[in-house]
Amino acid sequence: MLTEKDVLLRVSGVTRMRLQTWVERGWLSPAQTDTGHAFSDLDIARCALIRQMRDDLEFDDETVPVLLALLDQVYGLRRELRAVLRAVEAQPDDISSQILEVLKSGRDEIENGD
Amino acid sequence: MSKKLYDVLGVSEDASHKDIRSAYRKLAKKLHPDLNPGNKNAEEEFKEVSSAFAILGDEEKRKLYDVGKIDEAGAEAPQHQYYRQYADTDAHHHYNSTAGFDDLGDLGDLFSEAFARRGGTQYRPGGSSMPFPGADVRYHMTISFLEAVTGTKKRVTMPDGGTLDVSIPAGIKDGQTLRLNGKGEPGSHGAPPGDAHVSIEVQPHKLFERDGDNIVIKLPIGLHEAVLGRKVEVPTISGSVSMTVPKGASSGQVLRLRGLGIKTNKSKGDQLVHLKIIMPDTIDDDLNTFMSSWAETHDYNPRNRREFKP
Repeated sequence: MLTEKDVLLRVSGVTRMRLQTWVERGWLSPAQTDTGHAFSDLDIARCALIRQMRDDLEFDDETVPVLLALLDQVYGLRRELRAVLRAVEAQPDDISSQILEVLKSGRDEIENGD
Repeated sequence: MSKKLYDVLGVSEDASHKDIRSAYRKLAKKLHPDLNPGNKNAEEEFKEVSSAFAILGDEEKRKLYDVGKIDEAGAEAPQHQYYRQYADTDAHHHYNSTAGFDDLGDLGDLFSEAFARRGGTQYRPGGSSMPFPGADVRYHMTISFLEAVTGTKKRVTMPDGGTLDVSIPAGIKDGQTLRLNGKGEPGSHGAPPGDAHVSIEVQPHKLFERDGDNIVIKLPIGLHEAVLGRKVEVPTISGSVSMTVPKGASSGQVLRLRGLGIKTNKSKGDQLVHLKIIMPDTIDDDLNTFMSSWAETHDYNPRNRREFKP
């Protein structure tokens, strides 16, 4: 776990004030310790992403939290989807192939406008 | 994180510049290809040692290497992996959002089993007896302006029927998120619970506005009060106080009530009172007569002042 100082060293373009603002807004949620915030690699990568969004991609303060919320949902969904697929795969062959059949035919119906 | 280049030269990470040079010289003498005609790998080993010295022997480059800004080849390392490297995993993390599928629990028993708030995936390779930390939960709470200013305790009802007491600190700002460690989903098999994230929305107040740690209020005063001055009652976040409108007050003038702003651990703000002169509902004959004769001998033009001139 790294301190605020470490983050400022590792992520160029982030000042102390910006970092504190982003934490206040809930864009970043580092863990709280007695001596201040503790940042994980995940937090730091998210911090760098936020900087890119603001500076390079020029998304404004209203847009960034919307994007982050959507991103979090996507990653959450991907995780669930992987879990579901693993559950399907873990079934005996006849069951898993049945499930895949349903999936396929459902898709066909939609594509054929039924 | 062991720094490979230091291992290559066989020195510790806090070795002095002198030590590094001396280590390099020793190794270079040992490994120089021309001094080792029978060693096929000599060239490669020597190259490795020379490259390591090229970075560690240069004070500037060594500094960059130590903080991870350049890698073993001296190339600028990307300062981070892309966010997805950390976020797109099956491992639980505190930015995981279930908002994309929370509602799927409504579609029926199977879905509510699979997708209702729970502490992680149910199928895990390696057996179901692995301890798994609990998921984070997110709440949103709306509080009034005054509750935000003075701080308050609120009770949240959780989906499972339990309650969570949230202590909202005085001076909290609209949009801030409180993180309550360990108040999320319970972990399984002895693993720690997740956290609760409570995002706070502060409703606006009819009279008071916030500016940093100060409270701002617009105070209407009468024409006669502005001319003659008057002691008036002014609302503040701690109740009504008496304030003197100075003789000759103008609209836009700001009076400062010290210490009547937002109190936090670090500071105490003020209340700033912006005066606004409001004319009487009708300009009656008395006022009209008086003003006309007064203006004849007292005409003044505030637009002639320097601050108004372009």
